[in-house]
Amino acid sequence: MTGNDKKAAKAAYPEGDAFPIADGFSLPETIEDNEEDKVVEFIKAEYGQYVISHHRFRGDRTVVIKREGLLEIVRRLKEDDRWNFLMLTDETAVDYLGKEPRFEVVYHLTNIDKNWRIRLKVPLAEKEAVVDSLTPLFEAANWFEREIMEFFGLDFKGHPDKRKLFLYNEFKGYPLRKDYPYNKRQPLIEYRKVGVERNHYPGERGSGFDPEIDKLL
Amino acid sequence: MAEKIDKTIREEEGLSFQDMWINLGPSHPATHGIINFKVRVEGELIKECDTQVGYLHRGFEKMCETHTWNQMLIYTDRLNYVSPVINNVGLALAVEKLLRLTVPPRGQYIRTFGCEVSRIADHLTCLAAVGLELGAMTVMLYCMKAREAMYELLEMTCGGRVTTNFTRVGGQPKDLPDNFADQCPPRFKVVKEVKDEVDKLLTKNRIFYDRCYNVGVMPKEEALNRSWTGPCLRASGVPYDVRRDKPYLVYDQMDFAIPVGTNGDCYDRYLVRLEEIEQSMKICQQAIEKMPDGAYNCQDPRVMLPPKDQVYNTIEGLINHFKLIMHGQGIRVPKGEVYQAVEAGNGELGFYVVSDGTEKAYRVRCRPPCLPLTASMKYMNEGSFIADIVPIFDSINMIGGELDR
Repeated sequence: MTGNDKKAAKAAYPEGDAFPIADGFSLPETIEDNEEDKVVEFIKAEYGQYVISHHRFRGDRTVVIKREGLLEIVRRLKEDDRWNFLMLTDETAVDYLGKEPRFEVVYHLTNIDKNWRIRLKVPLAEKEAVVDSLTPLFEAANWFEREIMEFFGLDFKGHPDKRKLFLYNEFKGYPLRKDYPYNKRQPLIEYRKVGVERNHYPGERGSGFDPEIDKLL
Repeated sequence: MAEKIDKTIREEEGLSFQDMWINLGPSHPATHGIINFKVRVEGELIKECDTQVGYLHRGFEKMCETHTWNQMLIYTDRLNYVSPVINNVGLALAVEKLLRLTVPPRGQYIRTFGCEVSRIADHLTCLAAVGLELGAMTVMLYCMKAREAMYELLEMTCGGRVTTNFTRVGGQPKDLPDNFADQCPPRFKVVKEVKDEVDKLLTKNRIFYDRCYNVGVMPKEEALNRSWTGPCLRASGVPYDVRRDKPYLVYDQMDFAIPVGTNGDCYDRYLVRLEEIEQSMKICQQAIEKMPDGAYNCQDPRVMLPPKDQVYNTIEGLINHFKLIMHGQGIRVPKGEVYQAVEAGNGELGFYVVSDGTEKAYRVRCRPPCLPLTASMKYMNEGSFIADIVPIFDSINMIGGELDR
């Protein structure tokens, strides 16, 4: 393990104790200089005011940025011909309960021509858990963000469709938060009535959305 | 497109239509998987489509936070239940990346072999469903025969057929059986025959061609924008394959081609899958030929369980066993976070793993390849006909367990 990596790991988890060194394991930690580093350098140089920290760990490059700069940086990475990060491979969130800021939204971007991957992280405080939605740039962000919204209770500004994706509407709480017990029971829900709008679904029979349809009932 | 056709019909025919909402699903015989499409139709034309998922949500990611690293591997069987080996290997590779651990070559070859056998089973299942739901039941019966042969191979290597639990963190729990190399050729012969038969039955079949060609077209740019991966992205003309672009295991030592489509429709997706079966068999044969001797797991006592005779007969073995199994004990994975992607049957399966240095995971995120594909059903359905939902939905091969987790 090189000094750089140790420092980087400590920077990522400042409160953590010393990094355990797995000396008997067969793979030595090698960090080869790689073109992905240029992306990190670019973000640092162009958007230095938004960059909180950056590190590389096990070959993954991570840049932690402020939420104000997210849309701008991702747009540049996608549309600039030098970087061409055309694919939003994944978007998720992590709840670091007890730390401040509590949440982190994690983006994985991929350049499929040159096989670069970069991870962007946006820390979010619990009180202001809002971040810009990436749906204007990537259509794929739509469902990824819906999933984060229902599981973590974060909000995405400008998201076109804020319905729940996997859970039902009456579900209480945000199950992937750390303060949601894994064995928590949900209350029984009442039978849904005909004629009441369910699942925010416009135009469904009986929803009152389209009187012409309701007449057929 | 919908508006255009809509206008034409209304103006030219002078007909008046009543728009209608139809529920397709949640368990419709022509959709393999539990999913609900709410479609607004005018005549047979779909003008609006809403996809509702979540019928198979079991909280995989939450469960992972309360289990040790090797216990999680059992849950990954239930993600994509037609190619579970790839899920097992994917999570194991992610944890090994955090541990800075490489599995000895023999273990890697066994894993590569298992992944490819599993991919063949996955693609065969998809072809079977496409055939069945478009009216060619023979195809389904033939494909099941070939899949059975692949399941037999898996059964020989790990004992399981559907829920395999193929690997462990640190390597394979046991070696291949003695005469394994002789068992493979007859079974691959079955797959080869079936693949040729399916090719003859479907590829130039007029009905199949008409129902798939130019249906559910996904252009290259749209596919990238929607994070498509796997056979479906390749059918749209993007030669992106994790096995070649970010090689893991021993794929960089294998010789295989990546089939790419041109049109991005259901027919291309079918052709790409058909060809990938061929290529996967090629990889399997190479893996068997090149299989080195030696250890098949890392044999590090901090990661791998000791052999059972040591557990029962020596105190050191017993302590080692308890240190990995007892409550509060287990593999200590260093703090940190990694993302590891593997090429699953439907595309890039990624595991984003955060560890806080204890025996349990802090957060495990599974990036299911099905999610972006299913999210695009709206795009592909709108403007096509009700009957087109079936081939479109078949060709993306949604797997409920993986999508809903």
